[in-house]
Amino acid sequence: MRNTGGDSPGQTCSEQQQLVQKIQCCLCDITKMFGYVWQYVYTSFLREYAPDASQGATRTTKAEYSLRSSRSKLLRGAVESSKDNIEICVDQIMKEKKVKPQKDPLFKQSLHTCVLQITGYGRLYTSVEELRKEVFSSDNAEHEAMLLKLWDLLMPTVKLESRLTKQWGDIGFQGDDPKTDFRGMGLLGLINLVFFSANHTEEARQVLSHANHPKLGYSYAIVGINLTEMAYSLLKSGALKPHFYNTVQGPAELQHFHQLYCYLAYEFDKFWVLEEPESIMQFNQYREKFHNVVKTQLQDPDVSLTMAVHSKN
Amino acid sequence: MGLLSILRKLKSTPDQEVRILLLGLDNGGKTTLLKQLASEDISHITPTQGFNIKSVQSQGFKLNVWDIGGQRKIRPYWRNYFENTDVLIYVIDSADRKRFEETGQELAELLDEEKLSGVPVLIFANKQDLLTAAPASEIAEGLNLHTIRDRMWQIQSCSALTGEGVQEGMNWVCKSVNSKKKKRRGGGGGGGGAAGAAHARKSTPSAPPQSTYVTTSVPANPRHRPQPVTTSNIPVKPLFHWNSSFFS
Repeated sequence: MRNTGGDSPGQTCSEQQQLVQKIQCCLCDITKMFGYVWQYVYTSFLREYAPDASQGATRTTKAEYSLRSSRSKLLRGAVESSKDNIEICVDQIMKEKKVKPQKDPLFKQSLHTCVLQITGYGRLYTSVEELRKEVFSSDNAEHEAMLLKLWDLLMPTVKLESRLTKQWGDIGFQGDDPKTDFRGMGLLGLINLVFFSANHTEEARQVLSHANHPKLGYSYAIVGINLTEMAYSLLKSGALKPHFYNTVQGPAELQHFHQLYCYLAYEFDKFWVLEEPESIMQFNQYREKFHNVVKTQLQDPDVSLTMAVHSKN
Repeated sequence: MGLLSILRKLKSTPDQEVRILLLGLDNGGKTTLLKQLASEDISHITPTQGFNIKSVQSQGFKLNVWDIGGQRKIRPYWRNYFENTDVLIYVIDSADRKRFEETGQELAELLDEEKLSGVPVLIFANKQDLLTAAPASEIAEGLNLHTIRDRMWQIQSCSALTGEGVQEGMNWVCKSVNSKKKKRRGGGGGGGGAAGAAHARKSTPSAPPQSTYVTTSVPANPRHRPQPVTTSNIPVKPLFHWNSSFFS
């Protein structure tokens, strides 16, 4: 590429085109149809890494698509590389695709971010799944402490009379012992409830007060566990990718997932209050409606599901 | 075990809609049972807020299963779902002995409901996969089921989690639906018409109930062997306090 010489922008551009053509030539052994598909995918892949290209989900989603549908085992494997291997993996991709780091210094950085985000999503799912599979156990002091913390955060002025008490109903558990309510969401459900109360205490208490409304009320805790299921299934299906690619400049971590739960809990409450359902028996109907609203939002490449908290003033 | 196979058993009565109501205390396993019937994933279940419904339609025939949340707070809404119920399935957590009395009271109140009068009831003694589960015979005795004289009834041990025993229970549901429809159509169904309804009460109101107890073995629990229990070998000692006036 050196022999094309010069550093002016025009020549750089033609150099890029040459690079693309060169790569396209390398691919001419692919069948014609695949060739066309690949040409489109690959050129757009490269284009997205140009210094001024858009960031966030649009870029990362395209990069992910390109990597996953690549003929190269190396590129396909990149989406599953481990945290420690990402640096090497990025270097290998650039080598394989003959992208010169000196030529385009931002390319490496951008690709690195993309691979971090893509692999991070997979790792986040694994961590979330581990928490979900962990069954709440009364023999586990940590689990018990978390449960009591939830009470204290939500009901600071009321003391829990005993571990088994009807009082749990005041924060929306079903019976005397919350442990049977975590079910298929395991510890994940409890952690989300605690996270919301600990990090957005005022909002959580506001939501609880709505949930305890005599007419429009619902069961705060079990609806929360239900919304954990919503967050979990959105994560599992891959629907949350654009949200995390837009809002986390690196691998998404557990705290980002808990934060998303807070968004759902807070927004569902607003939705419920606004819709004024006839009774709690309509819950699943409105849950589905809300679910569709969220899924529609996630179709937008610029989506960012962050809590819009009302100003206190 | 799925809803479709149940439908096939019911197809002798075309152009019908069968309404099955699933009730019981919270954490009894109603939603797990519903999902098992619909062959859906049962690993992500959360407490039911409100109700769930699954329907299967085939050859002009529709099976609707209503699963209503069991928490105390929403039990007052149960009655909104009574109308036109063909079979009531009452699900009990056989390992939750502390709440046997509560579940017995709820069942007794249901059997007293006018809108559910004469509706066949299947009691699932669920969670037999747990080592601490009480066998169906004990539960039947504790609930004084033998005093039920105004409807067909059956208790079936099962594990909604593993699916064990569910098919047997649903077979009984089909039999009772078929016999009920036949009765409705032709005054008790002459001759072999009642073949599928061995446990159905025949005409005279004073006749003793013909129900039997059926337990199904669940390998995880060595205490439960596949031995059918009949009224004669049920232990007489009640398990818990029970106010029998609920049935009078």
